[in-house]
Amino acid sequence: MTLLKVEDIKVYFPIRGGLFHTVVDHVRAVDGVSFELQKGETYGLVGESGSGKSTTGKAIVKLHQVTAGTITFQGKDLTYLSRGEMKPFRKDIQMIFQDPYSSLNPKKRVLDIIAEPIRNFERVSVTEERKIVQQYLERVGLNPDSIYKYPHEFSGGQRQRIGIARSLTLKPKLIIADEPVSALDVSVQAQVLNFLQDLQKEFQLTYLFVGHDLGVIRHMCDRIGVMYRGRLVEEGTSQDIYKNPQHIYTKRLMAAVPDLSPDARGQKIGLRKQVAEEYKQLYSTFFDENGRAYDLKPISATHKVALP
Amino acid sequence: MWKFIVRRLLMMIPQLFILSVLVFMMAKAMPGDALGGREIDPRANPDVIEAQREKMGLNDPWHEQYIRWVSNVSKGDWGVSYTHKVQVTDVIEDRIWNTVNLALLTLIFTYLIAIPLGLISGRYSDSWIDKVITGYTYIGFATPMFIFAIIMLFVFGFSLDLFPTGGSVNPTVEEGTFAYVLSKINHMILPAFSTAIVSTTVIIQYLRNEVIDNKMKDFVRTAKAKGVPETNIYTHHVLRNSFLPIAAFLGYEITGLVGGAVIIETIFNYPGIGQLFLSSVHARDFSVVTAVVMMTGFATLLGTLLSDIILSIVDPRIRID
Amino acid sequence: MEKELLRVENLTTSFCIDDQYYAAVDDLSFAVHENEIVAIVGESGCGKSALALSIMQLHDKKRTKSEGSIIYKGTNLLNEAESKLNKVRGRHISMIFQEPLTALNPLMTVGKQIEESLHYHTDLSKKQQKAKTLTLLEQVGIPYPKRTYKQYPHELSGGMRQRVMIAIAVACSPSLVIADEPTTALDVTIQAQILDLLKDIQQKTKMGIIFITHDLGVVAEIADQVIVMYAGQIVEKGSVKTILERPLHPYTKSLLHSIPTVKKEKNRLHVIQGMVPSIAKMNRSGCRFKERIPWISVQSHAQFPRLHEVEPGHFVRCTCYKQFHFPKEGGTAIR
Repeated sequence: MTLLKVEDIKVYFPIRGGLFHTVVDHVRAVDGVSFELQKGETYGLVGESGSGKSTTGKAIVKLHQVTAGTITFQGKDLTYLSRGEMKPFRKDIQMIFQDPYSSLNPKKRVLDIIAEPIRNFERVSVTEERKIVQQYLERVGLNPDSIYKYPHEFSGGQRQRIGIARSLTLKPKLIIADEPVSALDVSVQAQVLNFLQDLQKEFQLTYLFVGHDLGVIRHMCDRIGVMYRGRLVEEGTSQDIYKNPQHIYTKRLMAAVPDLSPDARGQKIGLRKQVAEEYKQLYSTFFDENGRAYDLKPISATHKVALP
Repeated sequence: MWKFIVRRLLMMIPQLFILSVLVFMMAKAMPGDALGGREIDPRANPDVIEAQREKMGLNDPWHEQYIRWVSNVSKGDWGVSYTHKVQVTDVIEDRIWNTVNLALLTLIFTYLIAIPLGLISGRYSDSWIDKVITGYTYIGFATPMFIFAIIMLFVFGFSLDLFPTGGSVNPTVEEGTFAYVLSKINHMILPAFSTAIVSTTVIIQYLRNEVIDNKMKDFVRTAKAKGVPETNIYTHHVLRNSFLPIAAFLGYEITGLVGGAVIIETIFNYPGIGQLFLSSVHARDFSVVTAVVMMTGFATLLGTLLSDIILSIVDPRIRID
Repeated sequence: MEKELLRVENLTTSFCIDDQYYAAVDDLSFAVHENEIVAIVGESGCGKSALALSIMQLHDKKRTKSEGSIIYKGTNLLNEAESKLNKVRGRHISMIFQEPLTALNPLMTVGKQIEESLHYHTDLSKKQQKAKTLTLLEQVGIPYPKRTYKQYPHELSGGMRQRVMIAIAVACSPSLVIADEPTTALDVTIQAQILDLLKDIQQKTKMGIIFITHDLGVVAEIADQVIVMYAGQIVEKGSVKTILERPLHPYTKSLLHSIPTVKKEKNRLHVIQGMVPSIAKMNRSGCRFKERIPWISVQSHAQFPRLHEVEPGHFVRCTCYKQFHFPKEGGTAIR
């Protein structure tokens, strides 16, 4: 069942200039991106900084205004809904942010942070509310007695779990995780990733996982979309992308990922040189005259590549 | 860069318009007019005064008076001062240079005090010398300027008799001579210094915080790792970066001086715009009051423009096409 | 064996917190040789950055003290005056920092920032300095050196900025470069380029590099020797092949098991229980890792864990590695 359908969305930011600060051009942060999320799967959007992956994620929860295209959630077009009309859907789509240090209000207690969505959407008594918060705290592996603590009293991994607890309270169907582990150490990262997988099973969640770490994306995602300069250049199962990359950019990305075995070192440097050469030569076959990637074309049942 | 300046200048047009309306309405809202003041012979016939009002257009609706005033002003005609019986421009011209000179000297003093003290205080933060300097800034912060001014006037003017206690120049010296210039400066030192030692405290604190901020920055560590000696790190890296907000302050400082002129010129009996303003308010001399307020408002706008321009020159990150 | 460049012996660096000194780097010894890349690995809080700053002596002297010795060319840098150190910094030992945007002065052109190094350490004239700077920019792969020379850091991309940092570091042909997480802030494709560049320069100049990172993938790409740090101490040391293919210490093993890699399919990641202790609350007796592997019996830890050689060139601290095994269920309990 298709839970979320994103069709040809564009997010343009104006560039102002000239004498009267008029809009002279646009930054095409997201320039025609389409993908679908099936219920219960994890879809990874991977790319480098400036590729538009985060903007795409934020556009879905309307943190950015969409310039064109449609976003359909459970068959309902969300793209041009007003704030009020959007309200029922806000419960179903929640977001987890990258930086656990700055995304929690330092002046609020954990209780208030986690209860905030409940207060916005539901009417529950104070004791009831506290019970719910404690229940979720326990669920994310934190001490339920810590509801009166402040964010700075927790470690990075714990804070990220507070953020996750907050996003869970409304029982969402879709979670957009924007680089949720980039700011964390590997051991803490492992903890959060395992935990996200457990939650997915327990609550039948669907994830849109935005990230730049190809290891993490591979570990988490069923299907992956590779973004470059605001466009999807390749989409497929993680097998398709990692074992059989077809687009020249995906190949370059894969060649750049460090290999854990030191023996492969010389071979890797050679591969990178070769791919870099290939990238230069084949650039014009994979990008049009404006440097824009072509639209995705299916090359197998699951695998799509941006080809002319 | 030029585009930016032009844009800023264009933005000043509506600002000036709003300012002029406000100024005019405030002047009109003041009780009484030039014909109601104490200059008028109490035995004068009220009908004659009323006829005079009619003739001078004082009974017209305010917007008509406003339009008349603006069109005159745009021709350089600010009207006639009711009390001085001469053109407003002449009255102001006599005084304005006194105020500008005083402001300039005050600025020089302010920065002469602030820059070394702020830098020392920031570089050697938490040392005894820093504590002395911050102690001074707290006192300066908490004490109203006029108290300082009165103390200075009393100590250096009256008790020690080192500086003149009023006027802007010794009337016996001949204009255009070197002695005349010296006498002018001599008259300004005390009021300028009194203002400076108070207004400088804000800048000292700003500069201190900037230096402390900057000396912890990563790029300072990079410079150390390059083997740049400590003193050169301060002169080459910390200084310029710390001056940024201070430069931006310059424009606002000018604004503050314009306001402070009223008090300081009154205390030191210094014939400048501030003193003129106060006496004109007392005399209900609207043409002078509106002219002074308009001019100081304009100076304020220019001050902020200056701040923005300076900032965009010193900081390449906000340099505008 | 190549010539020894730098020898660190029993280095202890302590920070003052609430009037008490706590060691962040605790009795550390190692050596770096010519033409060798030594990677120092560990999670945040393990003391690896503190070590780097100690070698350069860039810590705030009022709140830090370093004991032991850092021997470079026969002299102990810890005993040298600041003026002498300034002759070494940037000239013989230089440093590359993590975040090139903040590590470069925002108000100074790139060219001037490179020339600064040359100014303090060489006799080159202004003109020669500029010529040398342009060559350096070209060497680190800046496409338009003349234009970049006049640009400010914010006008460059992250990768270009890090190339400028490298140009600054190698300007005076130092014999040792300390790189503190130089690629952490960069995208993977840029990271690969920067690693290749560093390796390339290193091979041409035969300099030594101390490469500090938390990323074991990067270690595999670039290091010759690896030092694994935990809680201020070295817990394991050996060649890159030894450490990544035959790790012994429980911490090294755990780290390797907690990374999701592009090679592995979906599986459970190992979670290291608990947290890296803060230096003020660290238990300094016995094995420092014991709290995080509670399922291993207390008897298996040495009473005074020493770093000892288990095979030629492979050093491990403590004896707990002998009985170490991962817990059933991958140790995933969250708590």
